[in-house]
Amino acid sequence: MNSRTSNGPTPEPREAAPTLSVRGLTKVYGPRATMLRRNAHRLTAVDAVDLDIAPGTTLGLVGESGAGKSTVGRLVLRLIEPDAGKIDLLGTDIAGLSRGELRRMRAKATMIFQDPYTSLDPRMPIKDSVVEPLLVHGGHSRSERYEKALAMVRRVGLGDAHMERFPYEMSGGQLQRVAIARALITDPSFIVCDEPVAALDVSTQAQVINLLNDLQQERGISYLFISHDLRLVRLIADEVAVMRHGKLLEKGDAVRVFEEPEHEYTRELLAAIPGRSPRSRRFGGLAGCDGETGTADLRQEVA
Amino acid sequence: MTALIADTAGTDDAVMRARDLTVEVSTEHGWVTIVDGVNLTVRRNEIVGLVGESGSGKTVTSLSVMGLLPRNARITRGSVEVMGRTISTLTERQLTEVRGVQAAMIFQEPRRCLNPAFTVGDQVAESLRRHRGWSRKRALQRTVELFELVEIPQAARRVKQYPHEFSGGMCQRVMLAMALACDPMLLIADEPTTALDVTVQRQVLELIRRLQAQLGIGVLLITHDLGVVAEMCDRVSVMYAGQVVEEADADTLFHEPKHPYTSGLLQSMLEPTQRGRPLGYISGLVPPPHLFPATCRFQERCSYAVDSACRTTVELHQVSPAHSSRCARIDDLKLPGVTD
Ligand SMILES: Nc1ncnc2c1ncn2[C@@H]1O[C@H](COP(=O)(O)OP(=O)(O)OP(=O)(O)O)[C@@H](O)[C@H]1O
Ligand SMILES: Nc1ncnc2c1ncn2[C@@H]1O[C@H](COP(=O)(O)OP(=O)(O)OP(=O)(O)O)[C@@H](O)[C@H]1O
Ligand SMILES: [Mg+2]
Ligand SMILES: [Mg+2]
Repeated sequence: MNSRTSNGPTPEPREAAPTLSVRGLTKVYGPRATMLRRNAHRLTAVDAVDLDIAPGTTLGLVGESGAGKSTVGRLVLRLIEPDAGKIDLLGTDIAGLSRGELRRMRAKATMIFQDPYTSLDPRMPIKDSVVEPLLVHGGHSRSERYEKALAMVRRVGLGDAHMERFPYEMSGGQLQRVAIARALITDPSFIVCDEPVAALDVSTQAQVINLLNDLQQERGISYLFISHDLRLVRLIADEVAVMRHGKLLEKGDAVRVFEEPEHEYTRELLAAIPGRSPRSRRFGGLAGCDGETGTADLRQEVA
Repeated sequence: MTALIADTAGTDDAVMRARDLTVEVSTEHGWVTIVDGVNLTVRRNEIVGLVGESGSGKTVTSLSVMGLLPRNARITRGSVEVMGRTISTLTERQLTEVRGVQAAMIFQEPRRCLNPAFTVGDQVAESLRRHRGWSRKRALQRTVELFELVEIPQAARRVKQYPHEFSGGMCQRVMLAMALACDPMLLIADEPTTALDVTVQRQVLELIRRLQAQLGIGVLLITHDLGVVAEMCDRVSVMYAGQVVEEADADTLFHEPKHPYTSGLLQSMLEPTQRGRPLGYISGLVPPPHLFPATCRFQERCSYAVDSACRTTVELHQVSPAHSSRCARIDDLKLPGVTD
């Protein structure tokens, strides 16, 4: 079931308890100032961010490079420690979890990264990479684990033969499917997808996006989908949050944000989406080719 | 019949021309053809797009044009001309001249092309000193002008800075300044904005378009983002498994594709519209070069393939004087393009 609501301007608290609820999330990088080091250079990578993701829905997190998107993604799974803020993940305040509890939590809340070439161990055959998260959690026999892995590998559209292969024997799109199979093997309710298709070809991007959408329909998984490509976010997100310099500028229903962006920066992002046909060019390439820089005559001058 | 169609018009304007370009590499499978019979022309005042999935041979084609093929690769058939000079007949010295002065190339990772130990200004000026024999002072003066040309703010100050003080988008502007330093007539841009985020991508693309019009140069733009092609290109060549499978002006290619591969790419193009509807895609993969079949190379992945016609080598067929397609069913297929 998918509890997507695409009408109505503000997604007020939904029926079900949220999958993720974040308040005042803050992360500061760089050394703290001390007596000796008064003006240490500190960077507030994430600055008092509030987010909610309802079960079975997708929040698209967009913004320019360095905005803090990946930092948010890692914080909400407590892969890095926040400096301030409260994170409720699957009904639990994760600040208080012990190591063991956190490990169990990570079976239910997993992550897919941009580059499958670096997120998978190059020396491990695919089957071992996919099985690995199950080892951490125990409770399955060896044959059960491989059966599960095979089912998952098939589910993401790969064949039995791929199980024995190594990462270098596969394409980027196939490897990203492996990464998805690995993220899904523990049957999670929430997945952080950090630029999951940025490294893939158009035709492969489409396959992976379709797969993520299907899996959501099938299993009611929630996604935090991080991307700077608004075309992708438009295809997958129920809600969108726009981030810049560590702060959330705007968030809301995806349709609303795309149709009636409130913030100037959101409008800029939308204007940067390329059109789909040479007949509807959006970029004003020929404007302003004269004048102010005074370089129109450079060619003659040098020739 | 095959696509020397580009010859029919504006021959004199060609800044780059590949004829029947065929490149082989030495691999563990022996010598393998990775680019096969490519015809490609870029004229003054136009942007030609070269598109296709990863591994289709786009970069190898462009490296051949610049005489920059890796050691294990060689041109085994055909030729490449830049400004009328045949690349394979040139001495290393003449090649350096072609690369620095007549044709220039920018890449996906601008930062990797810059030396972190020197100021960006010195690196751009170096090209002018080498190719034009200018003094350091004169070259630096011109570098400031070039920085203004590529719209780097506070050019006079920024020429003195080091690469790490520049963002990715600004690095690509520096690479453009370097590429344009000696007034080339051909600019090859291989995925120039793939590593940049959307707003910066837009700015850099707009800049390339503006410079192309302003300087009257020809641009070969390599990308796998059809949205970028739609925004930028006048003509497009689509490559698949080492061959050009379709070429046409951009409008025709997007609206009346005549090759199932092109049509498939257009269907999988990300739409900035409603969610929920599954995207079209082409199943399967580009085969590795040593497994390129002797039949139509796309046949295995093609939902329109029929036994008879598609199981043989397929040549480029002319659809109209400026449009050709390497599809055996060119006359009986009606393929979907983009819908407005
Ligand atoms: N471990 C770290 N130490 C210091 N600074 C960091 C660290 N990780 C990230 N930063 C900085 O925090 C800011 C946010 O980085 P983050 O990776 O979250 O951005 P992003 O939005 O994911 O960008 P991109 O689109 O480029 O992936 C950046 O300025 C980055 O340089
Ligand atoms: N030096 C080389 N030795 C062996 N094979 C090579 C070499 N260079 C390229 N190839 C192969 O030639 C084919 C075409 O490569 P090319 O880099 O031109 O693809 P491309 O279209 O630019 O792809 P991408 O979009 O990934 O950049 C690929 O199968 C590649 O593996
Ligand atoms: Mg990131
Ligand atoms: Mg390439």
